[in-house]
Amino acid sequence: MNLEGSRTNLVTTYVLFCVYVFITIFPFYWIFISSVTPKHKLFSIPPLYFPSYFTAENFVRMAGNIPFSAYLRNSLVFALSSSAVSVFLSFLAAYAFARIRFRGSNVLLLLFLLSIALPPITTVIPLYELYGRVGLLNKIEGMVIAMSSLITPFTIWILISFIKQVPAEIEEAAAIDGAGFLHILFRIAFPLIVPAVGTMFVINFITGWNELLYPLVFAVDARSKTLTVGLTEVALESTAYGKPWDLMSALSVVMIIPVIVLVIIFQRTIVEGLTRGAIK
Amino acid sequence: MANFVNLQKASRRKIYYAIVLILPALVLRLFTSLYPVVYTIYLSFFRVNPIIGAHTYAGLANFQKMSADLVVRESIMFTVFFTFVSIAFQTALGLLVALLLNKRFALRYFARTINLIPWAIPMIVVALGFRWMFDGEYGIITDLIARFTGLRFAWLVDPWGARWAIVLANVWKNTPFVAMLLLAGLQSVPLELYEAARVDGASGWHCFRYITIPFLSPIVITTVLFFTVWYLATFDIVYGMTGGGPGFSTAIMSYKIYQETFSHMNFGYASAISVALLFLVGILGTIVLFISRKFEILL
Repeated sequence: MNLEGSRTNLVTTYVLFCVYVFITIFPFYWIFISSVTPKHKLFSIPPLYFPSYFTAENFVRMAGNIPFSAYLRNSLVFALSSSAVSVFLSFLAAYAFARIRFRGSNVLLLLFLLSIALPPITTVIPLYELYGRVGLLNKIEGMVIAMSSLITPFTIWILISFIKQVPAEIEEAAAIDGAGFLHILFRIAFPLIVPAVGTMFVINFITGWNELLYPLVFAVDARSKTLTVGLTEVALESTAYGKPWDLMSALSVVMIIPVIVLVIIFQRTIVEGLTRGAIK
Repeated sequence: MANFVNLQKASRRKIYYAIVLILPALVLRLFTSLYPVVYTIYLSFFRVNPIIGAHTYAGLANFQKMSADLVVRESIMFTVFFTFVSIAFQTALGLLVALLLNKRFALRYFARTINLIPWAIPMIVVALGFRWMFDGEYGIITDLIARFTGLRFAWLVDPWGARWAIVLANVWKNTPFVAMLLLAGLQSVPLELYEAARVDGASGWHCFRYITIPFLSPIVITTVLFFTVWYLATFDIVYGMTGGGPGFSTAIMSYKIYQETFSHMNFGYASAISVALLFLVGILGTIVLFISRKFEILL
């Protein structure tokens, strides 16, 4: 390959890369611009691509429009608890699947994985009725049960592959030294796969933070509604221009920022965790 | 206790530990999947009044109603359309992006972060964001399309405009994720293979066909299978972007079930549609699995 050829190749690469980045970033740019543009400038025909007036007023009005701090707290509690419960239970199950061979273990694992295919909506009516009877409706606890269950099979799957990567010799040595089962599980095996557990905790937190269906169905008021539901509530209002896109954009920005921060901090481990499922 | 991790002898005690470890996850899963599914199938044969909690046996009435319901037929069609058109586009575009990002250039690290961001944000934000950008009057995508093609079109008011807009938003969100998986696959190909092939005089196309594709095909198959079952259950994007409209042209099955359940309080009828959705997932999942097996052998 001559130098000339590889230079045009590099130029093509950069041009295509810029196109890709533009397409990927553009919606973020627009949501952000919409969130800081004053209302009377936002609804212009044609739209102002590079507005010159900025305001934080949309955020203030958005926060006054819905019980913002309650929803924010619910979102955090819901995502953190769902993630913690699913990662803890998945770690226990994954350890058993990875380290202990028993009859039927493959079938059992397959059933866990097959349950990923179950559309959540098909389970909603029975859970709704049941939650109503046992007082779990409008409780974050009820939403956490459904959510942590939903993400458990994937978490088990990923954790198994991480645990299998760690040689069993250390645990065997500890067992020979007379260490008890719980000691081996939590003091020896767990520290070895803490990075993987942490990765799954972050991934599951993001999944919980983004969840719409369960909070939409099971939450009734500000005691358990999350930001995702809050966004759909703001979207229900209508103004002379249509929907209040200024307020919706402001709330969207608030919902996007935490996950973008997480992605930037944990980029490497998130990619490793997610690709683990597809590549082995 | 001493032979707890000894894989040679599966003692009774080890099996007991395995059961204790798996049981919590299993109980949680059964409680929120097996029990509800069985109960949903049961409810599909009943007429349910959720206000007073009364069930009356209705035989196949819900299913008869469903087979005559044009909205359900349209809903099944759109669900299948959405699933496979999205998968086709995101796989083809994802492959292109992965090949692009696999090149050596200065911004690769930056590119990896860019790939993750659309994956990480809430689908409901994407749905409403695209609804705003596709707005017939103030929408920026509407305006961009009008500037480049001269075609000013209220996308979300037209049935096919709305369907394609939903697919576009979905493909925008998930292509980077597919690209990320395929990129990991590309990076797992040992470089020596390409070098050896070059030495033997293989062309670029031959390298792609006989080295890259065989390495990527298992990943493509896993992602296609995963996205098939996942997309058949799509809810958020329709709920946020079109609310099933215009008319009922984008009422994807999960959305239709949600509406029947919580807007019309037809628990029995919604359960019957749920059963139809379960069948659809089972049938299409199996078909995709079989085709991909065949395909993998061919490659």
